[in-house]
Amino acid sequence: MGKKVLIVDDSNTMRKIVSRSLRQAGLDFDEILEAGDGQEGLAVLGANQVDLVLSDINMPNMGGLDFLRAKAQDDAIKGIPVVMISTETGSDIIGEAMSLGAKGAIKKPFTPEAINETIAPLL
Amino acid sequence: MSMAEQIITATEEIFSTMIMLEATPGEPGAPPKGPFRNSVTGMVGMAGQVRGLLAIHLTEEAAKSVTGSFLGMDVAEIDDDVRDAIGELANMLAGSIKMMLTDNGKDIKLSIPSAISGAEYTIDNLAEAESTSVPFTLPAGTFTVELQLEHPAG
Amino acid sequence: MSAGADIDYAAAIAQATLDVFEMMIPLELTAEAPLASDAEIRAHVTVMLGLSGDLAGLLTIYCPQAAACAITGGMLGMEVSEIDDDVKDAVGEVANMVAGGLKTALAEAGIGLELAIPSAITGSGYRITAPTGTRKTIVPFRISAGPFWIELKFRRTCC
Repeated sequence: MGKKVLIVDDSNTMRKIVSRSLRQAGLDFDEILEAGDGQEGLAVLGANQVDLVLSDINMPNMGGLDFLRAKAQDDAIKGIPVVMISTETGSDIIGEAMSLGAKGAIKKPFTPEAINETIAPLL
Repeated sequence: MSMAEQIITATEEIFSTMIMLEATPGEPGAPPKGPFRNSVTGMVGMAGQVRGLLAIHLTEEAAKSVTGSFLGMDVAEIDDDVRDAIGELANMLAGSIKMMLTDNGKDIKLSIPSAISGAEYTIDNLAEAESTSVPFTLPAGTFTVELQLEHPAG
Repeated sequence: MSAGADIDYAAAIAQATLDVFEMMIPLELTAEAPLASDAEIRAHVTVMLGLSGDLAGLLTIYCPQAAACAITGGMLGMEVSEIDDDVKDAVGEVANMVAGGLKTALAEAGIGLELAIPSAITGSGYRITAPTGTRKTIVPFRISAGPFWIELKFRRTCC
């Protein structure tokens, strides 16, 4: 596929689960990059050619919403699509993420189909 | 929905969507008595409008099988990956169940999950809580999901 | 959102615990400096109480037999020589009260906390883990019967 995805989540376990789900959804990324919080995520975006970001919302140091805000300020990376993956179902939080530029939201637990439906159009 | 039905619905949803293992529910009943042996337990607390606890107790074989499927890797022993995965499983089960307890799960928040694992341990619920357990069978082993909800005051 | 960044959680735990002992358990208690690791902790009964709200966390009391029995004896006014249901309930009550004290103290700092329900863990071979990378604060305490430890693990929720 030739594409790279970045998974941002403070849980190492959750990052593995998302990677596995991407493979199961038939999305065959060239490289899966990982970051433990929004800060690290920005650093990875600055240093790599990433095509898609999947990000959690609740994270230490810099959470998902602050990550969206910071990313929007950086011309080099602001165009990279971000999809939130979270247990946060409160529509205000997801609504705010969308208004901050997120292209979609996937609620945990999710099926490989749900991943595919939300992500495939963005690639 | 009864507590047992909530447990069965949440468990079947997660196992079919994310873990891709067939989990067959057995008869609901009182929580398992006596020590857990060679087991792994994931627990997460709930607080707010409803106070309670969700625990999932698995045999080591079931825990390894679930982790392997959840994380997409081979699992040879009970290690940090297994403990974290079972904790995350408890977290997701509680997240689903809280949606059934109040309007969209509003006003109930979760604590962080923890995992208990080992050769022999006993867990005692110290609150005045109503407790329901449902046993499940997997190809690789068995597990029980237990929901404790505190009796509402007054 | 940095409310809470300056809170000394170890001090808050120590104060909440000292308050509980002063009000309910007539035993001399000293709080010691927070530990960097949990290597020295030995427990015969462990009580865990989930916390949620602005923090998602867990309060854990690790009690060796001697301390657990002494605390129970002090609280209930009776001799206790082994870990039975009274001991588990008593340590559970301490967890509830310490967490309640923490809740009040954190509310003053603008952090809202809710308490879940406590469980007691006993057994001959087990370990308890939180998700890898969770921040922890461990405060050691000492009564004449021996040491016990209270640990707070948590992460901030949103955003």
